Amino acid sequence: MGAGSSDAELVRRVRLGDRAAFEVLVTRYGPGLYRFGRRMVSDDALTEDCVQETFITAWSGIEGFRQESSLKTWLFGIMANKVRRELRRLSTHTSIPMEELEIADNARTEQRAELTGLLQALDAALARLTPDQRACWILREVEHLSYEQIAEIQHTTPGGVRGRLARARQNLGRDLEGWR
Amino acid sequence: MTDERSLDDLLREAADELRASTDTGWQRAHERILRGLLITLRPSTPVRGTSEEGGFRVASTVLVGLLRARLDERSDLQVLRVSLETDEHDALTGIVLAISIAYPGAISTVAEAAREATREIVLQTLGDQAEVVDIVVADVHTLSERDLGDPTPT
Repeated sequence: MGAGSSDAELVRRVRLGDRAAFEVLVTRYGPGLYRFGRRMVSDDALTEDCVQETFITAWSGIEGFRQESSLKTWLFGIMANKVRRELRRLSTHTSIPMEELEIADNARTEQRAELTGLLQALDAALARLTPDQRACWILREVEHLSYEQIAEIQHTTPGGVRGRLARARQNLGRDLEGWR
Repeated sequence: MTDERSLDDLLREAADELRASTDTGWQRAHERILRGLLITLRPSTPVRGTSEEGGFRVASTVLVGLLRARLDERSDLQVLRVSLETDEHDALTGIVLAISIAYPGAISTVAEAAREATREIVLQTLGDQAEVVDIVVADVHTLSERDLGDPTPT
């Protein structure tokens, strides 16, 4: 058992209490969950909390994973719920409607120093999307999830996902015009 | 059309870069998350054990973990699920062990070995025998190259 084990084998072991198997899952899916969360809530500490809570929920509730969806979809679904809760909280505390919540550029200073030019530009452009558009674009284009999987995670329909992706693509295209 | 295609290419390149990057925050968070998980307990039920000094309780997750560790030593079976049955005093009345057996294999022989190993673990852990150990062969699987002793050096 190790990094090459299948998700199904790791889930079997995790259900029986194998922490080492769960650590493999943390290492496998943690970077993607963090990448998603960081671009959704724009704060390292908040992102870390969301990822940690996601894995604690998964560890404690693995019996609830029925394998009707993939493990990746299940984990991203938990993470997206944590992110939505944080965005609602931020929106309430700052009196900004969630749909208009944008990420302040200066929140990304540390991160930007290490990113390539295109990645910096993408990050800034993603920050200007609505949370729904941003989530759908990352889940589709970066994580390669299907419309159906994204709809499950975002509590919408595949058609709703398609619409959000179209608007995200249009807005990203406008903001990244200088890179074409 | 050319513009549309170049936007697709640009967004694909940007998405590829984002996918290939690892946030520095994750590198910092990884260890903390693993440490946090070490102290996270799962929901469990108490199972009563007995010793010369008196009674004690063991979390069901501990007993299941010990069973998994013991049966993991065997390459001819995989444990799929373990269900513990207890009475109103938390005494273990039965265990249902769902397993997958390596194909080809002698089902009855492997199932009996799993039952014996389970009885041993229960006795060692709780100081008493499980009244009933039901083995359910729920699946079969083929052995991986590693289980068969892949001669290729890694």
